[in-house]
Amino acid sequence: MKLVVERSGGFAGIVRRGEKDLAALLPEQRAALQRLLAADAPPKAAQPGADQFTFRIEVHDEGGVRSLTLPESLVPSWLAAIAKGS
Amino acid sequence: MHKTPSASNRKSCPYCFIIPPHILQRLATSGDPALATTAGRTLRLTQSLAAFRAQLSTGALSPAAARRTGLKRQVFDCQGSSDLPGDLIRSEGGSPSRDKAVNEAYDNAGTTWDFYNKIFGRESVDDHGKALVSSVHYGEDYDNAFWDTRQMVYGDGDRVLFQRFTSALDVVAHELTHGVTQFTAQLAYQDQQGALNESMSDVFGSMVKQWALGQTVDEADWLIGAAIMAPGFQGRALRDMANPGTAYDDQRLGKDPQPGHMRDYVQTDSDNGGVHINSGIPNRAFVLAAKAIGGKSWDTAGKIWYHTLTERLTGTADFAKCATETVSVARDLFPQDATIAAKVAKAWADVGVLEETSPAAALANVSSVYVIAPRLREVAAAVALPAKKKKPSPKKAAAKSSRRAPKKKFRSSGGR
Repeated sequence: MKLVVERSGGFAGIVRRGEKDLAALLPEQRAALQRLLAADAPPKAAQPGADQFTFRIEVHDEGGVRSLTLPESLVPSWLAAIAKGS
Repeated sequence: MHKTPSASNRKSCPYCFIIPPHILQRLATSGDPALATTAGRTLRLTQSLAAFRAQLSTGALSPAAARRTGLKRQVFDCQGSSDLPGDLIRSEGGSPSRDKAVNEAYDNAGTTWDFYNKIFGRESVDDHGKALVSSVHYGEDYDNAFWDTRQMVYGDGDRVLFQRFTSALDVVAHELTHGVTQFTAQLAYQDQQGALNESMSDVFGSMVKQWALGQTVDEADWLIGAAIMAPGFQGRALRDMANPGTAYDDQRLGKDPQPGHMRDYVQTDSDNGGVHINSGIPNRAFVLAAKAIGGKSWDTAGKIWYHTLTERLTGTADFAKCATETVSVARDLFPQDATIAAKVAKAWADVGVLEETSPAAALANVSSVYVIAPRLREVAAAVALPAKKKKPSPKKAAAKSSRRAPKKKFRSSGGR
């Protein structure tokens, strides 16, 4: 029952990866995560411009593993912080 | 896992908006304030870029974008927020700020503008005098710099691993070169096209630094991002163009993942298909060519790469296309010295993009000596690259028709 967030790209091109127990999320964070996962066509990572971050988000729970890839502009700051280990 | 966009999508869409606008719209009105702001911003970017593309397809610049000359800079301060552009702090000719980041962004943008103008006669990123807009102090401990299609954006770094991104001339020139690419080749930001896009930014980023320091190719360090690493970082820089894969080996950041040869090409879903990873291959090709030619990188190799980027490549160009075009440009720009084209071809062969077919290479006759390497054809097929045939824009077609008909120099069977 965990959330794994991997950040790739950016000018440095360095991958950062962190995880958090799903139970430790605030209710509004869980709700935001559900909304992202429920999008009918999962958004993908490409975005205009260059050197922005790409995030891969994995939810591991009783339903298995669900994942999606998002551009930096769609990732809330609390979610981005998990990739950096906070 | 996501599928690579189809060839037909790529052909018509140099900047692929993979997030459909209706989803962005939904996120923007989802009731989640963080998502709403960011999705709204992406939507606005998308709309502005759509206008930009429409402008390109008609070949007409809006009256506001009519050719203006001279350097124009603006530096804004985001004060730790991620709202762009922030507050205007310094405009062209304005006195220096007390804020170092503002002055660095201003000065380094100026040096980059001067380089493009003096060496290639270019008037800003669009060659029509577009103002160079920078925003500093973006986000909280934001460890990145990016080009958002309209401007440069700089974070302060987390001060643990990274320092201020404005402090390095090669970083600023890298970001501005993304602007040049956007207004010229429009290389897609995915897979090999994206790695070429990244490589062009590193090539000109390093070249601007060398020009500012007056360095020859042998004096240059060929490092990217050396100045932004915080004390304690175990490495020389973020990337080493001459020796990809050796820039760092750090406890916290891991090891430099860049390949320097096609046999080590990295297939990945991360980072838009590894655009910051596989750029090591064309980066090394440039260094090898520049070193073989000698002197100052911008005098010969730089001119070949600049002409290739601005006149020959389109959004779907892969490594093989870039290789054959740089060899062809070398011949066109330096017809009196066939060794230059031969050195460029050998550089691409040394990184496994072209293949030497005869050890008894006659320097004057490069065309029969190098072909696109089989390994590259495999990789190209594996990542389902779009077909090479593409329709040039009316503008490019007109430009091309004025040149003599291109000779067939290489077997172009790659990617089929």
